[in-house]
Amino acid sequence: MSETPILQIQNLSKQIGGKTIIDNLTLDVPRGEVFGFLGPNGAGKTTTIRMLVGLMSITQGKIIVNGINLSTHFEKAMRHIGTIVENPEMYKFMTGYQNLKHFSLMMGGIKKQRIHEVVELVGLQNRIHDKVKRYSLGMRQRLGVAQALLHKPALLILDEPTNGLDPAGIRELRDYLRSLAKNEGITIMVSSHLLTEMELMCDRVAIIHHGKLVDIKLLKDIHKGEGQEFGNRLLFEVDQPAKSAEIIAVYLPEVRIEPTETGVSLSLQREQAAEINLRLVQAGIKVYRIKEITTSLEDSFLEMTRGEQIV
Amino acid sequence: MFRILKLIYIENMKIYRRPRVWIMLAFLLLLNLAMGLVCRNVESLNIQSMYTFMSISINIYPLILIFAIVIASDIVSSEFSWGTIKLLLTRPLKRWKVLVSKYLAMLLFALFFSLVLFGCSGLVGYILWENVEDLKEQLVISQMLLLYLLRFIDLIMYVTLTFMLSTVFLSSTLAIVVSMILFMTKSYIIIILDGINPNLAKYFVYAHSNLTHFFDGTETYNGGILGFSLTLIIFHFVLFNLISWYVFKKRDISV
Repeated sequence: MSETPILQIQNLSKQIGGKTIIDNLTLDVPRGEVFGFLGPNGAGKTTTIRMLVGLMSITQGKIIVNGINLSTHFEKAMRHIGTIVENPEMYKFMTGYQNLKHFSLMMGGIKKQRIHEVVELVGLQNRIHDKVKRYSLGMRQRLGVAQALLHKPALLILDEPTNGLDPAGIRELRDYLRSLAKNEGITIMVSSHLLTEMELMCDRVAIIHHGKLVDIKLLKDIHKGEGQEFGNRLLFEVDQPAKSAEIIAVYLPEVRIEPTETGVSLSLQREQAAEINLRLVQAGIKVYRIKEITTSLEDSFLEMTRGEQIV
Repeated sequence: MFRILKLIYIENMKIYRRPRVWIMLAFLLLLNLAMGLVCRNVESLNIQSMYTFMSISINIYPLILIFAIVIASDIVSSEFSWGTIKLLLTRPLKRWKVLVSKYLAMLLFALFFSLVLFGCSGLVGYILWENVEDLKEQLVISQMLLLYLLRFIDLIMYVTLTFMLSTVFLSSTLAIVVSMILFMTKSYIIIILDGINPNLAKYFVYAHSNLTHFFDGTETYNGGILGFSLTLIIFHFVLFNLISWYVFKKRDISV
């Protein structure tokens, strides 16, 4: 049982008014990971998530949560899911505690002690009896996480959780989610269009575009880049790029060299980099700096979705 | 079943945590008290007992209807405008349970206010007249309760419509306006429909929903039959609720 993915999406499609929003999407979310769901605006992230949590009907396909089919056993399947879809809206005329009590009564079987536990978990002890209308966005976000965790779900689904948060809030949420995954063993699925965020937060990302799955990547893979076997890709910033390229070509004829406007870039081992630097300097070329080029998720992402019309 | 009770409880929690309900309640109580004082001090009205005052007090029942329409108009749609509907419907609960609990909580509100008016008018009457011994008490009380029951059935027909409109169009304003206009211009609508075709008016449910005509001796519309009126009422009650359920169950939530 524990080897089966916590969430299986099989051939999922959604049509609204004859238009296909999600097209035959199939993917598994493994247990215990922070799983990113990445795509440009309008790619179908929110629609997919809304289908996952029962806010939208499924046109075709299956969603299986912890081995339970969501469409046929909605109540049973939803017991395993906690969610915040977009902003965590709460009842503003009630206190944080009353809000949590409200949701715990809806689910049943949640003791008072559990409410106190989640309040402590999200660090809202001091303000929990204040009315929600007096909360900052960051505090509302935490209260949102608290209500999602009340029934001890195995899977936490968050749609664009960093929307509207300031950099400090984003960082706080990110650290917080990572620690939830690590310490509580909860699988977390996060959607976002913010690439750098996903890079910092996730173990694995699925990239979707036009409602189709483009790729699933372990983030380690992305960081490796294409030239890994040759070492790191380096940029030499020099005053005479063309002459530099010639010099390097004599020393390392088998390496692909890309001249740019301000220098040359190529993949090198550690020792080779020092050697090239020496040769360039000896040939009277000014080397301003040597910089490592990392292939970020952003590059991969843009590469994958490049050239396609964004509707 | 137990779960539904809990759901009704939390719906009540949301109704009564907002100040407007208490303003409504205060308004109802004060109005009834003012009525009592006027009736007591104006000799020409010739009101002599607590029971007479109680039966006069039923005339402010439309106020309860208006309050209930207000509650019914946004008990569903406000969840959409607040965005909290997403939190409600992502619980491990089937959607119909959420909707039914809201509907019942709204009816409970109307029932509560009806009981308040009944109790308040009795209390005010008792304090101001202290005359409880006219007529055969039990008969009077049971007639009074019947009158309230019939008024309540009438109210159900309006708030069910309001609830349906609000669930379908997600607009509390639209739901209030339509229901209130219907309530206030009912008699004109009947006349117009009657003018077009007497059969039209015959099947207009709001010409039948006030069943008090069958019991207090005033003229019923069209010389109607109780069975026919009841059938029409039940038919519309079921129809309105089915529409609400169907729309609520099928709706894709995109707020």
